[in-house]
Amino acid sequence: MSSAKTNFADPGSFRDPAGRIYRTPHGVFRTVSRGAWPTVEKLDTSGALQKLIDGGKLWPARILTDAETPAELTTIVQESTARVLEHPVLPFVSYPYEWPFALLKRAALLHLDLQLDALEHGFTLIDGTAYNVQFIGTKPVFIDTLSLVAYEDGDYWLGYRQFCEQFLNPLLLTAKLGISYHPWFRGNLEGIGIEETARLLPWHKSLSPGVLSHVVLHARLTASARKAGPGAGNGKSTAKLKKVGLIGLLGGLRRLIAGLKPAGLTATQWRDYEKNNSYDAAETAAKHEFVGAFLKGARPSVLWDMGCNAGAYSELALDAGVESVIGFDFDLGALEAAVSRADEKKLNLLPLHLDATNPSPNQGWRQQERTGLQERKNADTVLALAFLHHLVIGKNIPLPDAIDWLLSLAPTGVIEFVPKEDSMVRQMLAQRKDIFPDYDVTTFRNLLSSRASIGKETVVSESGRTLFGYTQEIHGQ
Amino acid sequence: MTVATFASPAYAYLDPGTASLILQSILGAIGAGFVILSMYWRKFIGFFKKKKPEDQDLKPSDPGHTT
Repeated sequence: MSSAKTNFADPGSFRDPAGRIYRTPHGVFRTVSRGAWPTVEKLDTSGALQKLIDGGKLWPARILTDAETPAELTTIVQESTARVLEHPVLPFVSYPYEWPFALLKRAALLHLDLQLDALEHGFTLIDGTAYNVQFIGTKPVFIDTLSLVAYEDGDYWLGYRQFCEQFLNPLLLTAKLGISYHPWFRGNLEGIGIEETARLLPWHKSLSPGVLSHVVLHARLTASARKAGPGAGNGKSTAKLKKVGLIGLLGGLRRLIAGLKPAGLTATQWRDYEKNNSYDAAETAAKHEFVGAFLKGARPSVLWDMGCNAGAYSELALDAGVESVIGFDFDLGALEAAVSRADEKKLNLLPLHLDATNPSPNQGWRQQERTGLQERKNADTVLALAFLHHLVIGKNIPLPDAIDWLLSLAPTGVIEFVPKEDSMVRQMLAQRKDIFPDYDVTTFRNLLSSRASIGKETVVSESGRTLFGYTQEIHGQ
Repeated sequence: MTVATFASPAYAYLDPGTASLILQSILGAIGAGFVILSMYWRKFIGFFKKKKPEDQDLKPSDPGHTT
């Protein structure tokens, strides 16, 4: 293996022999094998490639001439590659097990809609994996150009099972049972099995034609095939799936998914989350002013909003000139609300599910296929408003460690220290022994100032909530 | 169970799952049936709409004019 392959090959792009992704200092490139090139060429010369890109559903891809091939890839190109595509660099990579319900649903509909568009141009998708979708804010895009292949009437959709496992079943888990798919999807990486989903859904939630077909019947057939074992039967016949049948199947899936809503969440509208603050109007104004002034000074391009809730401060950050915000929260209802806020106000905000005490790890093949959250960090500034006490008091994370972690995410930031006098912390300690003797603003200030330089500090509430704006001289590894 | 060869695009890397292909075949046939049925349904409804004045200019080949 040439060293270029080892250094630049994306460790998550290896299953499809048609080509793979390379990330070099010059950008992101996708090699196209000699076998796959005729399809890509046809996609291009027929105009379908550009039409699908212009339609906004397909991530741009540019076919490079031999002269334009980056130097780092010349060895690979000689070996087995016909041509190289260049893609714009994605601002941030996220995984389906981090997406809130609304975004997984949106990704599923995009996948189906892209396939329907592709069929109009004589192409189809060969797989059905959620990892082929990425988000720019709350807008999904399909990134794998090589999933598009020429369609011949009669061809089956080979990605149907994968689509059910990675899109439909996780959504059904939440829509029909109010269960979060995130831990399961993250643990399994391949989604939620068909037989498991059928076993989980009680009969009275399986009565719609969509669920009966794509889950119940699907599970029965899967179980039969499994029991029959390999090489069952001896006759041979060539079965075809008419185009109108495939379109009907895709349309039916689309109708089923479009109608799904998350169950079991207390609220999903951002306005509902605004009501229940322990702040009054003057305190909120003071907090807004502090954060706004800090951001105008720091001028970050990318901001991470830790504990973003329904996105109020993400919106403030974007209004203050930040280009893009990734919002993280544990509360799935709040994330739905953040998505609806981002939609309504057209914000470049991507809300993602995060358990701060257990962020997405490096995992998959060789524990490199899917990158851990820490390695994907791209923020200039971090906001941790009403967040720290959830870690320290709520989860017993030692205060110095929690501060270290927040400081490792970005060079600058704002942290809100919520003292024991505040009603939120008092509530958390009401039923517990207070084992936090050093949890006070003085200790916090000392710990923070020994790690960073505090620019400004302001008390924003009567209960003593204090905002600290800080910068670090040397940003950590 | 009959082993069937399913038509598949040239460059495929994924194991589609036999059961999933069989299900597609079933659903595809039902789906195709519905599409054809809905085509005839629309023609059938169109037959009743021909009494309106604006429908008098329908082409002679229109199935609404089966008299």
